[in-house]
Amino acid sequence: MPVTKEEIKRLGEIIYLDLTDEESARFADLLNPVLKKADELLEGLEEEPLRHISQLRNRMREDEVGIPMPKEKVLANAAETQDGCFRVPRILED
Amino acid sequence: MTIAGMSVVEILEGQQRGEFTPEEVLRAHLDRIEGEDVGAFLRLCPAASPGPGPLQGVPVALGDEVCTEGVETTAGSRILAGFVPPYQATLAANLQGAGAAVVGKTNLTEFGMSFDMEDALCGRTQNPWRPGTTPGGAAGGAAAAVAAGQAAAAVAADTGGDVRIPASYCGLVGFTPTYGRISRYGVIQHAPSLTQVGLLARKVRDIALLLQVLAGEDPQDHTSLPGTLPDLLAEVGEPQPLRIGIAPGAYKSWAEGEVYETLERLWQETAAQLGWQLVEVDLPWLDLAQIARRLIAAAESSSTLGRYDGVRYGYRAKDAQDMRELFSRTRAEGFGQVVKGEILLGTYILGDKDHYEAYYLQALRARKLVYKSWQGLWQEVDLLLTPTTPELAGRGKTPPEIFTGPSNLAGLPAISLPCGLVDGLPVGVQLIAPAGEEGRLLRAADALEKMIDFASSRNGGGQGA
Repeated sequence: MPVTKEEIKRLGEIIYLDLTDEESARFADLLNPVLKKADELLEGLEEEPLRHISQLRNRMREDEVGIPMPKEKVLANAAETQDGCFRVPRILED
Repeated sequence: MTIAGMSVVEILEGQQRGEFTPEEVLRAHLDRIEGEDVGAFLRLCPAASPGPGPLQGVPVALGDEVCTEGVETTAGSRILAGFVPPYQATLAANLQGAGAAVVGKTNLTEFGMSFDMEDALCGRTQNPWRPGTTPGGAAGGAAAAVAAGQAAAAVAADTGGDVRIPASYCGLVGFTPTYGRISRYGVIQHAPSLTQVGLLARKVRDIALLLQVLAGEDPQDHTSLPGTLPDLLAEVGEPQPLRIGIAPGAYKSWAEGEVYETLERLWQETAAQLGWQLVEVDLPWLDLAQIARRLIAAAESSSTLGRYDGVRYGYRAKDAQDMRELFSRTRAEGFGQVVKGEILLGTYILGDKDHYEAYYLQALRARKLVYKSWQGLWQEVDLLLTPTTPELAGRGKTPPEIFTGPSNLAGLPAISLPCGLVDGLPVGVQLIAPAGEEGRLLRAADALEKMIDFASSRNGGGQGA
């Protein structure tokens, strides 16, 4: 079943992405051919899913205290800071 | 030959002979950047300076997805505008430690998410072979910089052909090593299970030199490969009998006629001149690999790009009244259309049990099928030879990653070399090797490069390509 612009709008809300009605319609038109092709090609495959080709393994190290990045450096890229913290809009209601 | 336009090896040998100094090499490339605007760079590194080491005085460009301490790094996205990394990517530190001069940061499609530089948000990049034609993407700026003689080499991420496609369009050598061979610490990427750090240069020997410096385990990147490489430069040049896989049926059905004919002439010559044994193989899974790679990349993007919210770095929407508005407007104003489309696709296939099973899980099953097909192929051949792209630069009818994406799905090393001209534009040939076989790949590529002799066969365009 084709994706609708209402579904796209809902997805936008989930991932915190404001979308206009026009954008939602355009993205639905964009996704539908991709999903149709996927429907045609991927159906019926029964291989074990392969998530990663790397042979990941645990890497242990000594639990030593290092030199952290200075707070000023960490905060230097933030749009707003206050008293050595990231400043954001109000989170709690009155 | 002018300095700007020389290969890495020519620059190093010229310096050793005392013909020019590292400072003169840097000046020559900076002059070329000032003198010929192909839109390759987003910003220059003011502190670029050569140092001692195996890459002494070699001017290198970095894709703007590579974090450079103290130099703005945006990955071609508005959402990272103003972000100045407080740390250096391992690969940038290794280059500088080897004496290379990092001259600047190059343009790319936003987060490297499109193979078409027309989608780039930070300005138009020209193909030095034909201004007005795309250099290919995502690393279009990196390729244009090397092709225009503004850097001798470049480093950028490759998630499905992002280095090899522009190399093919711009008449350069483009290389991706085995997954994990080069550290990705400090490389901004959207699909971590697919991304390999790629290299662009003029000659295969340049690639061997760069790889020798950049390869190695990095405690900061848990996917980096342990162990060291053999002396690749010493190994390059040793001839060896090879079984080369070709798939004429697949190439005919995907590639345009002139590209196919160029490749067909080439593999016939390799059999006659290099003694390579040609083995016809079948690649019935190319379109399956293409859609699987696309879905996996989108799914991973929807996760990795979740971190961009305007709080800690980058762009922030003005005057938001609450956190939801801050996040939603920052991301709506900060991301471009291609990125929004990809993260919506990724969220769609991950966000619902039925969609997850029908699309994401099936894409991972397709990945396994492709992986097993590669394993089977290596029982029959030593390397696979394909066109790099199905079409010339700027045609845009067929997915440009159809021949390059499958190696990323399995983390294989691959290289693209210029092998001829059609209508004045370069055609690329790609060699793909089993994982861990960079030595075999580079030896074969070196022999093929010498046989093709592209530099003397070209009849115009592409400064010093």
